[in-house]
Amino acid sequence: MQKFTIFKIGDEIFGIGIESVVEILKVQKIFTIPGLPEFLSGVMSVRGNIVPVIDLRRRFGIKPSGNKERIIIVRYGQEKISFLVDDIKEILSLSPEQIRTPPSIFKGFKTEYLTGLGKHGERIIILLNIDSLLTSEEKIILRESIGLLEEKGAGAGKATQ
Amino acid sequence: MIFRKSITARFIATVFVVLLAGQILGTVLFILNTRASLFDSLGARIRRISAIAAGVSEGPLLSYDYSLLDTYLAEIINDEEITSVRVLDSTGDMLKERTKTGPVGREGFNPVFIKKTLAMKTPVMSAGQKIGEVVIEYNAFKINKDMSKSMLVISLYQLALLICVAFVMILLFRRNITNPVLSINRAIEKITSGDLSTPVPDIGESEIGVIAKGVVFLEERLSMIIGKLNSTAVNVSMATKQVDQTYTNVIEGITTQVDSVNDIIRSIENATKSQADLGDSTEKLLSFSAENVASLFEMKETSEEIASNTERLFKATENSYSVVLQMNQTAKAISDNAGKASSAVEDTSASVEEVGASIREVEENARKSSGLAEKVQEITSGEGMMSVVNAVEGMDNISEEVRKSADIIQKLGIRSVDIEKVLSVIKDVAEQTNLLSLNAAILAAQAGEYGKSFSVVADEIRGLSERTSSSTREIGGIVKTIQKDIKDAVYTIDSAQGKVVEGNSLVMKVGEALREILNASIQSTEMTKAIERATEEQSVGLKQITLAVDDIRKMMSSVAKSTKEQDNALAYLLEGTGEVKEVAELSKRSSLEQAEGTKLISRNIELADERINYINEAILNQKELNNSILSAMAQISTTGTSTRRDMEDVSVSLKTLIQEIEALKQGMEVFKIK
Repeated sequence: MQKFTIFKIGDEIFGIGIESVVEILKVQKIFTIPGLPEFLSGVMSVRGNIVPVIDLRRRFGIKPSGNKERIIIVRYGQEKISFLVDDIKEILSLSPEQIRTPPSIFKGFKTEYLTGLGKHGERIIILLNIDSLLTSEEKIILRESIGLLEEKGAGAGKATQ
Repeated sequence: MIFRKSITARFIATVFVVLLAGQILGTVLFILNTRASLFDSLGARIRRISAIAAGVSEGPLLSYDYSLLDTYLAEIINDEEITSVRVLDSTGDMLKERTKTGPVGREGFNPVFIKKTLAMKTPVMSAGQKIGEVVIEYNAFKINKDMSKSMLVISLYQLALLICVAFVMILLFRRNITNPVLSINRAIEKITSGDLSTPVPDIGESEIGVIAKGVVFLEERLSMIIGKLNSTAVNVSMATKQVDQTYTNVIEGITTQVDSVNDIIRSIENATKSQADLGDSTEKLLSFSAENVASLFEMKETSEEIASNTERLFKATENSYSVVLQMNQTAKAISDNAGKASSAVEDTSASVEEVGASIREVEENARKSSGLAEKVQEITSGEGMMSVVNAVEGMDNISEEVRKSADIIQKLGIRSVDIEKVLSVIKDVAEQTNLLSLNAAILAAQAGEYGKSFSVVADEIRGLSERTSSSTREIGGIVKTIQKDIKDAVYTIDSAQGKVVEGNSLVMKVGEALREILNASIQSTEMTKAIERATEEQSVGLKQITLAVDDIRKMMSSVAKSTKEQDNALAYLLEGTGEVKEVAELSKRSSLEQAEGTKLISRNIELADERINYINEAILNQKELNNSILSAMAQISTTGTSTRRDMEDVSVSLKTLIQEIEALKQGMEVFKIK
């Protein structure tokens, strides 16, 4: 059995393996900083740490439902990044029999984005491979950006002290 | 079972077995080695003894003097391990032999490696020539015996040592591993059963210490989350109680409102009843006055008939007068005219009698009318006015109650806004709880086996928070309905207030109309009195007329008589006719007066009728208004009842919510927090 954090974007249901999830938050103020790469929506401050925000709805080109917004913070290698989604529903256990290999393109998602398709009752859950969400180029840019932000944050911290 | 499960026991048993095997192997090797060296040294000793024996034997063999040899052999045979010693000459014949007598000793342990009896032959050499041979036989029984003994002793020592080592190991294990693990286990068991205030022992930096620190961290995170949940649950509970209190107030308000509306409806019904009574009285009055008018018309007609009769009489008299002047020429005509006059007088007399009857009727009617007018006065000044006062009071009550209702409903509106505020707080809290429970579920899942029991609690809390959310949404919907109902109620009350104002002014008009009726009936009474007076006067006049007519009749008969004696009585006739003329004039005048009076009365009665009709109309209007007020009130009452039903629904939802929160609190009570 594997556990997943289940969330919604538009009408689609997604799952992320629980082992990479750090925390779930209400939407906080997202700062946009000039010079940030296109795929980042901005950054936010979580208990003094600066975490970059990726709007998964924009990333997948799905219209937001508009009712709710939530933040999932996940471990991404050494870093933490956060995803902006519509609503987080529950924690779900899926047995290996419930997880299937996806067809080469499922609802316009490339297979490399998915680790599988979970079937829970009538629902089809798109299990995301968060590691392949970003291209290797983007990963490098992300790491650089985080480094830069941390330096800035540290500098700002010193300045205020 | 426990022993078999214990890592300590398993570990010690393994170590024990390994040590035992090593010891056994070591002991066997040691024994073998020792015995080999002992055997070697025995061989060397026997070789030395044999060499000495060979040296000693040289002389006796050359000299054949064996006495010394005997002694020496006896000495040799004393050796414990040597069983026999023989001295042989060069040909192999036995010269001397000594053999150990008695028991040679038991065979010891493990004799396999050593032959039972060993022999050592040493040649006796003299000048490079072999002159004899010494043969010594010996055995290794002693070595074997010693070995057996030492093996037993070593085994015993080693067993003792092993037991000591095992004991020390157990002690060390218990101190360094079993006790800390058990204490962590106890702490975890308590945490799992919900006591989050359990202190977790601090066990240095060892591997077990790291586990303990992990448990401390888990406990702190759980404590924090439970603490947050607790405070959230308390907030929700307080908010919900506040809502419940508000709703109790609101329901009370609505109940008061419905009661007030029912009071209003009762007041209006009373007012309507009073007005219906008044209407009945007015109807009666109207029918009486119609009767009056009929009588008066009859009287008027009779009076007019009298007047015309009198006129005819007057003309006849005038005619008579002119005829009398021409009496002489037309005596026959006079006689005819006298006959005519006589019949006219008869007619007049009958008419006068009719008039008299009419006047009596008029008198009767006037009395009746007077009685009716008094009754009307009584009704208008008594019951009628009371009804009006009641109606005004009722209207005032209605106005007051409607104002109260409006106030209550206004308050209700404010309360519902309060409720909306509280609901938004509850919604926030429920959302926060949902997030907390999701985070707790993630933590619990990541804690693996340790978090299993907590993940159940987290799931339960999430379920509760979702139910709270849905309850809150439901209540929100009901509150919206209530607000709409309140708006309707406010609108209805506004229109009711308008109607009440209209009703008030109508009641005032009714009051005025009643006062006018009163005035009219007072006037009518006065008129009736005047009629009575007039009829009395008429009676007097009629008596005079009757007397006059009688006089006329008498005169006419005398005229009739006198016509026969025309000549004599001409002057007298002229005189008489003049008197008749005067009386007829008087009669005519009073008849006209009477007709005039009757006209006045009839006009007054018509006026009174008009007023009464106006009153009737006003009463009908009033009735209609009362009906519309009643329907408005019924609408308010219905709205109030439906609002109360909605409120009761909300109350039930709230009760459910409170129960759920209590369940949540009970769920939380399992956890004790520092």
